[in-house]
This record gives sequence, structure tokens and C-alpha cells, in this order.
Amino acid sequence: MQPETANISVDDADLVEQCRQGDSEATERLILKYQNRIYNAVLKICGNTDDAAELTQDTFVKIIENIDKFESRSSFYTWAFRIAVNLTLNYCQRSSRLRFRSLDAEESEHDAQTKQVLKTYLTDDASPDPAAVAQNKELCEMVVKALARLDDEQRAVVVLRDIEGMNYSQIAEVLETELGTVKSRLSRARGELREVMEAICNDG
Amino acid sequence: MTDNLNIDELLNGLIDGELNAREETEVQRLIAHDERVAQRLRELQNCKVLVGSLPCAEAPAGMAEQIKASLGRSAPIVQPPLRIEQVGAMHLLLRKVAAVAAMVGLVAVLGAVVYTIVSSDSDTERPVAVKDWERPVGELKTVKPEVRVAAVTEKRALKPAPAEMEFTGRLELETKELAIVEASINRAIEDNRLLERISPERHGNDRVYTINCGSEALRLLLADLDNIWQKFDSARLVVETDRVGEQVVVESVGTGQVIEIVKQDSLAARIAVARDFAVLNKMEELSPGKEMFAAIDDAQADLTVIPKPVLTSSEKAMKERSSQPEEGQRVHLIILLVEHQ
Repeated sequence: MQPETANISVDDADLVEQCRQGDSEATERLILKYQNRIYNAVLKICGNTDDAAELTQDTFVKIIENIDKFESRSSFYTWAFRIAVNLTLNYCQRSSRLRFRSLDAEESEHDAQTKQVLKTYLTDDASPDPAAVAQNKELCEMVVKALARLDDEQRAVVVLRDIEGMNYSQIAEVLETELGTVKSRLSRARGELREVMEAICNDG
Repeated sequence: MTDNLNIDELLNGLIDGELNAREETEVQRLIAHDERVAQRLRELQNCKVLVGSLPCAEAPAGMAEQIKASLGRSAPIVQPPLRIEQVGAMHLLLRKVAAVAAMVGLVAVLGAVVYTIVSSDSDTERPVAVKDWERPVGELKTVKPEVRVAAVTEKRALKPAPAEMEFTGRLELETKELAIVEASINRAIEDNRLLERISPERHGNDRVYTINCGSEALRLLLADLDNIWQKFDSARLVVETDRVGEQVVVESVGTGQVIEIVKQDSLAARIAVARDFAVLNKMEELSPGKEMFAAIDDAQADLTVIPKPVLTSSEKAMKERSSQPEEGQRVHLIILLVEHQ
């Protein structure tokens, strides 16, 4: 899912300007345009649908309340995601204990067959078929759990790159960090993610 | 370990298309020559595909409505602040317009003042207080506007232009306390030994003093009159110019201003100073607070306050006064003292 950043920027500039001038229709269009993408990224980072819905809502409230402060030096797209990711990471930090306990309780629910499928994908020279992966709900849950085992910041980098499809520069803007930090964090995150998935496959 | 991390970074960069041409060439060569690096690349690629293949979750239905509801609870969306901003802008605009109108009004008032002064110099038909030098003093009582115009017209034909060094003018004073003021003037004339140079005449209730003396003698006389100056309801000095029939009229003139005008050593300087005082006094008259002019008066104390001679003994005073009246410019001044009705 690669974002069409060029088109988004052009449209966003108009919508943001109309939104600033109190156009409620433009505000609604801005929400509808980004709500699914932000909700999806937030959900993959925080791991809970209710919390993701609430965080997404808080994100848009904050976006609209602060729309006058938005400077056109960055794109609205990265600015909006910065707000969403900051809110989500703050939330994850506050509720980390509860989240890990929940993951431990669900650890042993996957069947052996799905674990074998995952192990095959990890070791096979051939690349996995994305459609087949998406249709395998059990497999997806295992990948999500593996993601949840990463540090919050590593998970955020992987989500922004592999799920939201941002390039390194955009990720650096969203996380307000250096490009080199993004590269090293993503490299470590993918390495650890693979190890976690292998551990899930080999467990029990 | 560090090498592995660096290789992982390069491999991830290759997977994500973030390497430059040189880096990409280097990594491709590394992959081609090292099977372990090639294997690691495939592992990382598969990991990326697994994460990227996760289905996209959609936001719960009614998210937009909930957001708008939240915005309504926390703060009115954007329009109310905009309305407040518009009202504020309107107030600001009105204030700007009011300020501009006030400025225009002030400029108009100042312009009118300046025009009044300037036109008094050029408009020969303007009614002014002018003495007809050639007429009997008794006719001076006809100080009505229409009569004054006639007097000016007539004077043009009769009176020659004043000499460059000689001051010629007229001081018109009005008072309700005529007897007290007259006594004070007479005493001042006597004290300054100017009886020979001043010829007082009485015409009904009016008094006319024709003064021919030096400017220093006049200064001493006016210094003595300074004490009673507040008893005058009006004091106006009419200064003759070099053009027949034209005068500069200084309203609300003070003794210091009279002296300052008289002591100028040329006619042009006298006229210029008289005009300045005329403008100054007119502006002071129009100014409600008069604070500005009080400050000006303070700054120009030498123009408005007459330094009186310090008397250490009666003999010295007599000696000084006997020698002073001839000093300074020649002055020909008519003082007209009338009772204020």
C-alpha cells in the first residue's frame, strides 16, 4: 500500500486551507480521506481496536484544533501521522504492562499447522504470496503478535515503512528523528521481528 | 556484529529502494559473492512481505461524526473564532477610520489657523484695527469693522511707509477696571519719566496714549504694566508693515511679546516675529488644554517675561532711568485703552 504522496499534497493544501476558513465540509473530507490509514497504522502499533478508534479520534480532534499551526513546510500527510504516532506511542508507554500480560495469555493459542506455514515463509527462498498471507487469518495474527513484541519505536518504524509505505525521509519527519536513526532502527526492527517470528514458530 | 548490522542496513536499504547507485552496486556485488548475505536478504525480504501483507483495518463506522461531536464538545470547530476575528477586524477598521478622521480634522483646524494668519497679511480689505494717522484722535472711537475698512483705504493714500528702523504700531487694550488701569498707566509713565514723550488724551471713556520714544524706554514702561496685564480682557497689537494698508495683528499679546517685536532691528524681522506670535497665540486660543503652549512659554521665557531693573537705591534708579529712554529703536506706538462692555 504505497501512498500517492504527490497527489495527496496537492489536494491536501486546498482542503487544509478550506478547513482553516471554517469549511466543515472540507474538514469532513479531510477526516474521511485519512481516517482508515491513520486508524490502520495506529491499530498495528497499539494492537487494540477500541484504543485505536479512540486514538484515531483524538488524532483528528487535535489535527483540526491545531490546523492553524500547521506550516506548509512539511506535508499535511506527515504532520497528521506525526500527531497520530506521538499519541499512540505515548499511549503505549502508559499501558505497556497491561499489553504484555495480554500477549502472554494469548501466546499458546495458535495451531501447529499455522506455525509450520509461518516457518516455511521464513526459511523458504521463494517470497510469500501477499494475497495468501492476507487470507490466512491465523498467520496474520501471529505476525501481529510478533510485531507487538518489538519495542514501541521499532514497531512504529516497521509499521510506517512496511504497512503505511512511507519512505525513510517521511518516517524521519513523522518521528522527528535523523535519517540514519530511521535506517538503523528499521534494520534492528526487521532483524528482531524475524527472530520473534522464528521463536513463535518453534514454541511448543 | 557491527559488520552484520551494517550489512543488514544496506540490505534493508536495497529492499526499500533507499540506496544510491554506488551503494546498490556494492551490495549487489556482495550478494553475488557471499551466499550468506544473499540468504539474509531473502529472510529480510520475506519478513517485509509478511508484515506488508497484513490486511488493512478500516476505521469504525461513524468515525467522522464522532470526531465532529468531539470537536463540538471541546471547542466550536473553526467558524466561531473566525467570526470573532471578523468582528475584531471590523472594530480595528472603525478605529482606523476614526483615527484618520481625527487627523484630517486636526490638519483642517491647523490649516484654518494658518490661513487666517496668512490671509490677514494679504487681504487688504480685511477689517483691522488701524489708526488713521492723519485724523483727529477723536475719530479713533469708530472702531467698527466697516469703519475700519474705510480707514484702511483712506490711510493708503495718506500715510507714507514706515521707516525701516522705526517701529510703528498700535496696542488696543480692553478692561473692565478702567480707572485702576488708567491710574497704573499714568503712574508708570511718571515713574519712567516719559511724560514728555507720551501724550495721554481722554475721549469719553476711552484713553489714547501716543508714545514716541526709544524701545528701551518702552520696555521699562511695559515692565511696569506687566503687573496689571491680567486686568485686560483683551490685548491686541497691530504692527504696521512696509506695505501701505497691511498690518500684522497679534491677538492676546503679552508685554514680553510686544517688547520682543519692538526690539527687532529690522522691519522684516519685526513682521516675522509678530506673525509667529500671532500664530502661537491663535493656536493657544484654539487649544482646549493649552498645555503645549504653556510648555512653549516656559521654553521661551525670555520672550514673554520682561526682566525688570533691579533697584538697589532710589538714586541709582533715577540715574539709570534718566539715561535709558533714548536707547534702542525708535518707537511710535498708540495705546488705545477702552472700557470693556
